Amino acid sequence: MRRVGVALAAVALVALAAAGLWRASSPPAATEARRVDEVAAGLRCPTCQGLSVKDSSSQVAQSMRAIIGEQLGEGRTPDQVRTWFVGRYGSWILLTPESSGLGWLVWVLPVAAVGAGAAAALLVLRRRSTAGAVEEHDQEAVEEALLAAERGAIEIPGTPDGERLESSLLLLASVRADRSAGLSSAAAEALATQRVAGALAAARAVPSPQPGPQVARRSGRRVPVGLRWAGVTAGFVLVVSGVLAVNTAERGAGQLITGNLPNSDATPEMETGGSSTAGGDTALDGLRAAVAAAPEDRAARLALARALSDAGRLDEAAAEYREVLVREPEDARTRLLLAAALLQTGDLTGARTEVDAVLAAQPDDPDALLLSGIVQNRQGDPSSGTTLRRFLALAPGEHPGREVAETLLGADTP
Amino acid sequence: MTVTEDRSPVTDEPAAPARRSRRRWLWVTLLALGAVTVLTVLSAGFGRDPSVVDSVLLDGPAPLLAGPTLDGGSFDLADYRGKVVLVNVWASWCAPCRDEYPLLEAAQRELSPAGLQVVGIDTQDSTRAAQRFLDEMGGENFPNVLDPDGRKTIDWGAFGVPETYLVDRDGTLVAKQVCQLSAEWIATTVVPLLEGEGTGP
Amino acid sequence: MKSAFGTLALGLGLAASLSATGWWVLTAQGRPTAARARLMTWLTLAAAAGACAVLVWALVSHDFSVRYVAENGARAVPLYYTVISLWAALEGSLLLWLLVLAGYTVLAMRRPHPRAASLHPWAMTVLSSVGVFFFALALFAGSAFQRISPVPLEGPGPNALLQDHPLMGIHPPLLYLGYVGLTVPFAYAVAALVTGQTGRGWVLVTRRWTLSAWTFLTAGVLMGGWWSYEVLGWGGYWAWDPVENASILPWFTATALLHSVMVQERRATLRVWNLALATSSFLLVLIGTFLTRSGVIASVHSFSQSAVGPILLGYLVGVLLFVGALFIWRADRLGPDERLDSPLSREGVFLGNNVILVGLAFTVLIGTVFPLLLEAVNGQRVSVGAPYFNRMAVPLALAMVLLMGVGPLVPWGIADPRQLARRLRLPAAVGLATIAALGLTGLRGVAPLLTFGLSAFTLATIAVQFASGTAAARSATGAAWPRALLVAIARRRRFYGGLVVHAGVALAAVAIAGSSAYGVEGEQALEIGESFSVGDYRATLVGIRPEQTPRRRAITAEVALSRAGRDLGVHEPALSFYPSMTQAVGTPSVETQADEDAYLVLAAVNDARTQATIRLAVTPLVLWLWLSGGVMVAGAVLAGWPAGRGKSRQVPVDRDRALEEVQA
Repeated sequence: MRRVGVALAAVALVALAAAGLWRASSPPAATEARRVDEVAAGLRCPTCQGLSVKDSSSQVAQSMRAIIGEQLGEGRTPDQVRTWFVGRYGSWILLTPESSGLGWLVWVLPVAAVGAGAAAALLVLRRRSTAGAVEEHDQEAVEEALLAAERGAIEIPGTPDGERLESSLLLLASVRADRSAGLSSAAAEALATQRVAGALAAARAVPSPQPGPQVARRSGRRVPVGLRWAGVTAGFVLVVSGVLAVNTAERGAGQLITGNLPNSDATPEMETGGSSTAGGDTALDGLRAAVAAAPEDRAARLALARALSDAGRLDEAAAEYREVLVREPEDARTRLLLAAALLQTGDLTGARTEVDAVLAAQPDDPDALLLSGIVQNRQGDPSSGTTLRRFLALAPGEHPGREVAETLLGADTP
Repeated sequence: MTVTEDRSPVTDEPAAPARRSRRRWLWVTLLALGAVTVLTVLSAGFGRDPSVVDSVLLDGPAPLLAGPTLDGGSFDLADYRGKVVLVNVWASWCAPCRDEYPLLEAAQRELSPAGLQVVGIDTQDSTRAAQRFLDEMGGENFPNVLDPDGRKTIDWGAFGVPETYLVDRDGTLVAKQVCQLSAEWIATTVVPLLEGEGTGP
Repeated sequence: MKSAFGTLALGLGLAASLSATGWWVLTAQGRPTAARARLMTWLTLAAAAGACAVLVWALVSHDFSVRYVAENGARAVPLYYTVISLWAALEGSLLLWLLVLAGYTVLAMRRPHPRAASLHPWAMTVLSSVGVFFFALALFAGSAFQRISPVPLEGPGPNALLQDHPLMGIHPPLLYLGYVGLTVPFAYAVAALVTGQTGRGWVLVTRRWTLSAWTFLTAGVLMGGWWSYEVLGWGGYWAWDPVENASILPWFTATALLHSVMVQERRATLRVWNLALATSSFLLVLIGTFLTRSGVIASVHSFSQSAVGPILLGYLVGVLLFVGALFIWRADRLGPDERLDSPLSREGVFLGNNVILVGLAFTVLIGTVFPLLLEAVNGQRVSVGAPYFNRMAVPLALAMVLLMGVGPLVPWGIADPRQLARRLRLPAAVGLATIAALGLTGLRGVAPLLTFGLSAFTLATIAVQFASGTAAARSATGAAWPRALLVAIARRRRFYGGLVVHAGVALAAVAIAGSSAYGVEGEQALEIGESFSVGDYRATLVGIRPEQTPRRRAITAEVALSRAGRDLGVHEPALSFYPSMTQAVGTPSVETQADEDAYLVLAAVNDARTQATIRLAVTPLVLWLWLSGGVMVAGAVLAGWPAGRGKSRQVPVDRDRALEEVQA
């Protein structure tokens, strides 16, 4: 009676579960949004890395969803909508390959592989004939071996027979454990016991293993120890120095290989401090933050100043130059840069002061002379001619300022 | 349990050594084939940018392009049959677009007597930002069709910005350049078309 | 100067690993050179650590004369992100790889297992030779330490996405610990083939290595999913991106290996298969690292093309040929295999597990590489994305959940079908009842329903196992049930640890099914003050705030979230503009609760900053996914924790089970 009750309950449960599954399999109401989502989930967003149009929040994806919605609303089928996109982007836009061409391979290959694997596994698991009974004294030997193995006191030869003995002992132990947990049957234990008995017999039948040939030694004359060490050290030194030589060779700037996403063409700002490209504001902020983070860092501050002056913010550039000079008053180059900035803002007096300070320390500096000459010229100071001629006399032949000086001198002379 | 080291010699099967060596050669051949397959398949991608996909619209009629332009007028590509049209997709937030604008402007200036018309598609952008961009670049030198939601670029199969398309005098799309333009491309692809020699390389 | 130090360290590492390889080979042939080999191996670790330290030093001190720093450093980046930008790009991550590899090599050097004394030097040779390759790669193809001139004054900083979340500091190291850790089982497998000792020795040695690498890999992959969810802003945790797929391929084969070695321990069979699994895991690691670093497949993670790609491919093919040749050479030592008894047995279940896992690995590999394959054959460009992988992987995964539930109840050798059915009655009832209850109360979708049912079944079998083990321990020791539970676990730690891992996987299956099938979302353009609802939730746009930090310009939307009237606070999804990127990077804001997550994304803002398009996605059971990862790791730790040898036991030993434990 109880068995019937249990069986009935089981059948009822299965029926209920089947009903649940059947209910769950009915497709949900096809709203517009769902239809768009279904098509969008199969299309790839062109500007993203592999996301579907449904998942992506990018502008292009939003537009594509709108287009899909419109086309479905006009009565097109999902396939037609997909074909429309394929007509513009190629079959790349579909997230699963079309079956035309070789696309079907991607579906068939894995199924074939799993099928082949399952078949191979079943072949390996072929049924064996059931075993006969185990002899009495064999049974004792098995128990003894098992006990010894558990205590760690058994000696197992490292031969295939020994391997079989070891594994059969472990199997028997596992089967016994399963039995005491109520999982296994007497038949299984008998089979395992018989296996151990067979393995014991086979292991004892083989005479004690002879030491066979080792893995073949590399034959060769033994090189004296000292020479070997010398050779190793020399090899060391050679490798290290060769590597150093190769890698410390000067390398030009701008040869990026890695370090960026494929679609962001960022190049590190070489030399110019990042002022003239897009995002100039943010580059400036970056430099400003860098300066704020490291106020004593002259290079950073100079970079900021140069960026500012490139951006036309000369007053701020001048302020930065002054900050550098506060820390390093002897820095002639920076003082000249300050003078140039002041000159550009029209502060001739200030520029004159700075240039004169440099000339006081280095009377023959060509750049200072040039700048001084220009300032004096602007101020209408007649000594500008002398200064400029002095510059032309002292400046090297290819100094870029020569042309400026000559022009100014030429304009002066009536 | 103690296990002595395995010192047994190689278990040699005396039977059918010829069959074994044939089987061995079969495995060797399979291994070599497998290695060659792996090598061929995995090296297919070398030397090309994986995110760049060839356009399927090439050598077919160019897609439609019509709509209001940034300066308030309107543009229709169909009106420009008989001219070679260079369609450039750009946006004010795109850094490489900044770098290639002078090229486009120079092309419009120098090649329009030969029959070139440059037109821009300002995509996913606000008119204010686009105007600011153009002011920075020195004014609007060619018409720019507005495309705030990106639909027009979808029509052209664009993957991103900047992209440039070349339409010949018959309205056929003959070339596409992804990412920033170079003067070289203009010289080798656009100029020959203007001179009636067909597309470049 | 730092360039020189770094290059010197790499050169030293190369030389040290070269000589280590040589000394280990000599040791393997019986010469007394082990001490020198050990010294060289320690030197390799010192060199790798030194190279990493030098690069971090260069990054932190903003030394832009070093090429890597010039490409990835910036002064305004906070210190934490500067340090972890060590692995932001290819050359630096190679150095991390080297450090982990050298660390594993040194660990593998200590105390060889007594059963594997003759395998050990060969395994060390293989490990050192892998080190040689990677040191050479780092030195000649992707050197981070090259000097550049003129020295720039500022750099672009690491990729914006890598500066967004502190998890970036944990995910790659964890992943590498798992990935590189699979080199050790590979080394022992090769050693077994070379010495011809393909028996149980190498299996015993590598079991713990495989388990720990597996644990790290699981944690690393799940962390990656968490990062993708929290940072990338598309609302999901797994996109079947090629690099994600590459990271999970060795996980499949490692899991298969962990199970099938248990068959080899009890039956003298599956030797070739286990060796093949161990070597395939390493080959898949190489394929994965090739796909990531060569730039042949477009991915969020990939680096752009460089010389590294062809070199890695060459190495991969070389290792493949070498291993294949070893197998063919040693074919005579790899058989004959013992026959198994019955498909209905624990061995059969494990074989089924292997077929499914390797099938999954094959499917994911084919799907990932298929675009390349077609391109090689006829130049066609296609995509293989999430719909394909979901359709192919889900049935296999469900079959695996079923096997996970049935497996521990199936005995070794031969199972009696009636006995098995009796044990499975209760869990099956639980599973069917779950399906019935959920299906009849309106849950839609056959696949998620089946997943819930199968997971309930599996969790029920695990609970039954724990219950019966506790009961047995209670009757044996008379202790109260909490203590009896601990006793039961202590006796068969590996078994119960494995059960906990299975529970974690079942939990993950539930979480994945729930979150992918039952999410709802909505997107709307809102003016300030407006709101919209999705499900129970109401999102109100409270404000739009621009932000300027040195690193980026951002627009943040302040969104007040409430659920069924209960206030959940103000969330701040943002759109960030970094100077080096052409598109805005969205930062989502997530409200995590026990049963579901509310995920807010700022999709667009109008120019005047008066209107924002907000996307709200409500996804159930996401938290459970992360928790399941913790459960899996806990179970693996429980299973793999080294037992004290010869520990005296307080309770009478269960003789038969003790044998299994002693085998460790």
